[in-house]
Amino acid sequence: MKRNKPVSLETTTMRTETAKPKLDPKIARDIQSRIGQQLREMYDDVVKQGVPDRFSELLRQLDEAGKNGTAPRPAAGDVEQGEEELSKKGVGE
Amino acid sequence: MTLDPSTRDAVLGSIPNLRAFAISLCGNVDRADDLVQETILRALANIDSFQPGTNMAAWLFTILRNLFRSEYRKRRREVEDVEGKYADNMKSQPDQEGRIELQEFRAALAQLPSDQREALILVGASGFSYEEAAEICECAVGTIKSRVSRARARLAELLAIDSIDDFGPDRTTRAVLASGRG
Repeated sequence: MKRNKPVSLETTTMRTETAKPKLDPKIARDIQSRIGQQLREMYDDVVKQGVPDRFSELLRQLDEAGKNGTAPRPAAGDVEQGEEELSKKGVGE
Repeated sequence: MTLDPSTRDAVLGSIPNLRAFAISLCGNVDRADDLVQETILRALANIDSFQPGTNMAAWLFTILRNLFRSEYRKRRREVEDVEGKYADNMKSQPDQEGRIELQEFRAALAQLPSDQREALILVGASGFSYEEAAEICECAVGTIKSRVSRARARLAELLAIDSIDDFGPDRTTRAVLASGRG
């Protein structure tokens, strides 16, 4: 009569195999510096694009509106929600 | 309301960084630009609550992040797999110089939980201090520190999977082969 299945051995082995190997500190440092570098590279790709026309135009229009005494309003429908949240904590510290 | 020239210049000067942050948040250039536009309108409409002498960039980032989060909550009801969508968007970002390394990096970044991703970007790319990042994310400085360190550890794990030997001269060839698989 079979009573014991040889399961426990298997699970133990699997657990040891999935345990993370400790990285060589030198490699870990290299990887971290590469991460920092690639993060900035990715980000700077966008920063380098400068200010797209749509935004300089927007600020120009807001400027005009201000001079003419018309208060600029956010475009209808874009930001109804989060309004209370912002006035509570988002704006100004 | 007249737009103070120094305010206008500060806002204008923050736009490239706001866009980079917005793209990293939502993974989509068009949505990111809309988000930046809403941020500018919101900021200028509430310019009275900005305290002169404090950090304008951090203030704008806070507004942008809050707008993104309220929009995200709204969309979560409509969109099933937001994180998955984010990952797809990040992968399909045009990479002008065809740098495969950077595509791999984006794919890895897309796998991070969003709170870790934003902390890492604020500190590691936008150049904010831990204190400023904590202010922007409305959490404790310690929380930011731990998110950044978990993000770095996870990225290292993800990138190290096929890069232990990627530091050798054969790296480019490997990357080309690897990209051929996907």
